[in-house]
Formats: sequence, structure tokens, C-alpha cells
Amino acid sequence: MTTLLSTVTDPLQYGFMRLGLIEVMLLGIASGLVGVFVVQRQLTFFAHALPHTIFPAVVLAAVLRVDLAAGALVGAALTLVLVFGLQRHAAVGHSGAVGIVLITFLALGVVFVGLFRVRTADVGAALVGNVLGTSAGDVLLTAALVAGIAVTLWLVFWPLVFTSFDTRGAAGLGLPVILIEVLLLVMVAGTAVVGVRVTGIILTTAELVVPAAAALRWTRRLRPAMALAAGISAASGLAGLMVAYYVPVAPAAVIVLILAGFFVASIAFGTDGPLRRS
Amino acid sequence: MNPLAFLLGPIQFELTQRALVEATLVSVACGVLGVLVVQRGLSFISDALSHCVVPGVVAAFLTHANRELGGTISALIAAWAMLLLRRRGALGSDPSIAVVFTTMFAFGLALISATGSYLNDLTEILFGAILATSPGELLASGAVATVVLAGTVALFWPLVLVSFDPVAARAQGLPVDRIELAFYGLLALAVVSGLVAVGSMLVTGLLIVPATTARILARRVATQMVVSGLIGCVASWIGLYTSYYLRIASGGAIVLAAALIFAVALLAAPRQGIVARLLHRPRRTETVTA
Repeated sequence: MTTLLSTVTDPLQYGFMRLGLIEVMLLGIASGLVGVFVVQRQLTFFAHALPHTIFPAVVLAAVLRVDLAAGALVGAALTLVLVFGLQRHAAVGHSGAVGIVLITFLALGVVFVGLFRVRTADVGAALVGNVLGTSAGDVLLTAALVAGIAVTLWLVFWPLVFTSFDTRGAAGLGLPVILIEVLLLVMVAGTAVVGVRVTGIILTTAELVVPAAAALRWTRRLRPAMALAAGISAASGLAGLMVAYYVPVAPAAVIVLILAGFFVASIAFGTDGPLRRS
Repeated sequence: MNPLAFLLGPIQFELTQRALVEATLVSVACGVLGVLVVQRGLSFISDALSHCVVPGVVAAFLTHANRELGGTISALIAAWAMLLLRRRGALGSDPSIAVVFTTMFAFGLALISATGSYLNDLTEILFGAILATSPGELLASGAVATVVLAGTVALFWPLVLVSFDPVAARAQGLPVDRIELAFYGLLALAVVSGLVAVGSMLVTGLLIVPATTARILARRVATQMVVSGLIGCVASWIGLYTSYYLRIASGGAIVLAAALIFAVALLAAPRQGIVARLLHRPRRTETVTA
């Protein structure tokens, strides 16, 4: 009994583990809240692109030794503008625009890595995350993000739902549809920035999409789905980091594999949701 | 440095010669197949597939087997899974694609991170290192690229018909399911062929950027394929020279060169360019014909 208890409490004696655990839990809450809208609005590819497009900003931040948050927000804003501009061209389209912006920014980041001789450790942190390098300041910033997302969603939940299901109707009622959409994308971008720090640019897609997709197999109603997704995501983060303490593998990989387990279980046993059609 | 010495610089070594040939083959193959990828709006699937290569490559890396072989096996499994998910359509498609590729990548990451200090190997898999690749690996990826190019040319009409009008294709008695399987197989092979030249993360760039550029410049699919292959070829040469002289990873330079060509075409294309459109109001919407 004591061994079982100490399995859980042992890692907690280290400050980096405590901070890491708080960070993955906060990220879990943010990704659960935002992710349901990502899946519902079919923003998966866009959410997948965001971490890639902030890669050059992350690289520059590592070179200049500054916090990546500001640079990442500039990257996210540029992505928005470019995708909206490009997708209006008939030969490009939405999926093409997202793909081109994603891959161009990623390539730019890779060229920066070469030009500025960025240390492999910094590149690796951007690629697969560095949750155990979380500082107290990072945790505070993430906590502020979660609070911001929660308050925003509490304020604009119904307009956001209305806009999601019936954009024209919402516009007809005089709702500021574009403002609401931008708000959602800003929340996705903020979560992506934290996601990159924890799980890296490739696996952040999993954080943003998988818990929500799993939760939506159990209920179609958005608010219970958000709570469930946040729970799944936070639980996967905590469990993944604990496993990674004992097994020498990258924490991001363990977290995502646990998330995938939740998804498979939800497909097998899920009782409801828009995904159950056949 | 005089221009001739600049041009001949990289060509004097056998390794760089091989790299140029390999990058040319890969970019042409991806450019040609990419026209169908973009036409069908499969950018996300092609990017997802490129991440699915990773577990196979890592396994090959750890067992000192051929990377292209490992990558091909895991990419084909992933392509089959995605085709199945897409056909069922029960999962709203995009989220299920995300689940498949993040799980496969996480598996590869878990595998390689268990070896201890792994970041150098991982960045090489993700971003390619064509000038640090053994002749055997170059040969293997060149061979895969050749298969993709030959397959796309040989199956041109079935692939085009199934891409544009699957209902008509089925009505004509074409084996649509098998052609789809062949298309996804070619896509998986194309992703593998780009492993050493641009790395698994950037190969999507070779598949979609030159092809989208070609769609702006040309209307017929066959012409688009030729133009896309040419653009890919030019981009890979610019990229390789840049990477040789600035000593940076070739993948980023190649994809960035392709993106620059795209930007120029978007602005200055004779019919569909932004400048041309501002000067002449379009009289009718352009349609793409085979």
C-alpha cells in the first residue's frame, strides 16, 4: 500500500514535476473547452496548422532568449490574415490555403534553425515539447489563459453556439459574427501556444482535437462535452507525465497515446454524439 | 565568385551530384502527383500521412534497416486506415485523421525517445539531411520517386476520372475502389520518397505548393502536371544550392523556394494572377478540364 502511494507521491517532491503536472492539467482544461468548438466547426486542419505557423516565432524566441508568447501571437495573426486572403482564390481554396501557409512557415522556421545555428535542444523542445522545463511564470501565464478562455466562453457561449450552427441566421440577427469567429480563433491560437510548449508542434493537434472528438461520442450537448473533454485531456496529461517519470520516454508521446486510448474507448462504448450515425 | 564557379561548386562532388538527381526526381514525382492531391482537397491527409511515416522510419533506424522500407510499410498501413475512415465517413473525417496521425507519430516518438539522447536523429528524420545521406538511402528514395512518377503517368486517366467524377467512373465500369487504393498507395510512396530530400515534415510542401502554383498558371490537368513538375524541379535546385552555400537543411530551403515561386505566380500569373485580375475584370469563371 505504501509503495502504491509512494509511486504517486515520489515524483511530487520535485519542483519541476509539480509545475509540469499543473501545466498539463491547465492545458487539458483549455484544450477541452476550445477543442469542442474546433471539432464542431471543422477547424481541425486549421488547428493543426497553427502550431506549425508559430514555429518560426518559437525559433526566433529561442535565438533572442525571449518568451515565445508574443512572437507566437504575431505568427498566429499572420496565419489568419494569409489563410483568409489566399482561400478566396479559386485555384487555392481553403484546404490549399491552410496547407500552403502551414508548410511555408514551417520551412521558414527550419531555415531560421540553420541560419542562426539554433541548438538542437531548443529545436527539440519546439518539436516535441518540454513540459519538464515549465517555469512558474509559464504556469501563471497558462492559468491566465485558462481564466481568459473560461470567462470569454461564459460571456459569449450562446452567440458562439448560434454562430457555429447557423452563421447566416446569427448575422441576420445582428450578432457581430466576424468578431465572434476571431475570438474563437484567438482562443485556439492561445491554447496552441501553450500546447507547443508542453507537447510540441506536431502533437498539439492531438491536444486540440482528440479529447473533444472523444467527448462528443458521449454527448451532443456542448457544455457537458466541454467538461468531459477537459477531464479527459487533463487526466491524460497527468497520467502521461506520471508514466514518463518512471519510463524513459518523451512525455508528449505518452500523453498522446493515452489520449488515443480514450478516443478508441469512446468509439467502442460511446453512447451518443454526432459521430454515431451509421 | 564568378557565376560559373558558383554553379559548378556543388556539382564537383559525387555526393552532391547524387543529391541533385535525387531531389530532382522527388520534386518532379511529388509535383505531378500533387496536382491530384490539391484537386481533391487532400492537403490535410497528405500532411497527416507524412507524419505516419515516422514510426516505421524510427524502427528501421533502430534496427539499422533501410529507412525507406520502414517508412513505406507504416505509410501504407496509415494510408489504408485513412482511406477506410474516409470511406466510412462516420467520424467526420478530419478529427479521425488527426487521431490516426498523432497516435502513429506519438508511437514513433516513444520508440525513439526510449533510446536516450535522440533529438539529433529525430530532427534528421523530420527535416531530412540529403547531404549527409548514404548513397544506398539516396538510391532507395530515388527509386521510390521513380515508381510514383511512373505510376501516376501509367494510371493518368483512371486517376483523373476518379478524382473529378467518381460516379461517372463507376458507371463506366472502372474499378473505383482499387484505383482509390492505388492513389493512396502512390501518395504514401510519394511521402516516403521525400524523406531524405526534405524530411517527413516538409514533404507536404513538395506535394501541394508547386501543384497549387500550377493550378494558377494552367487549366488542363496534364499541363498542370508538367508545370508543377517543372516548378518542383526548379525549387529543388534553388533550394539545394542555397542549402549548399548557406549550410542549412535542404528541406526548408527547397520548400521556401517553392513558396516564393507560388507567391510570384499568385501576383503575376497572366490570367489568374492578382495583378491581371485587377487590370481585367474576369468575364467568366475559369473551369478546370482534364
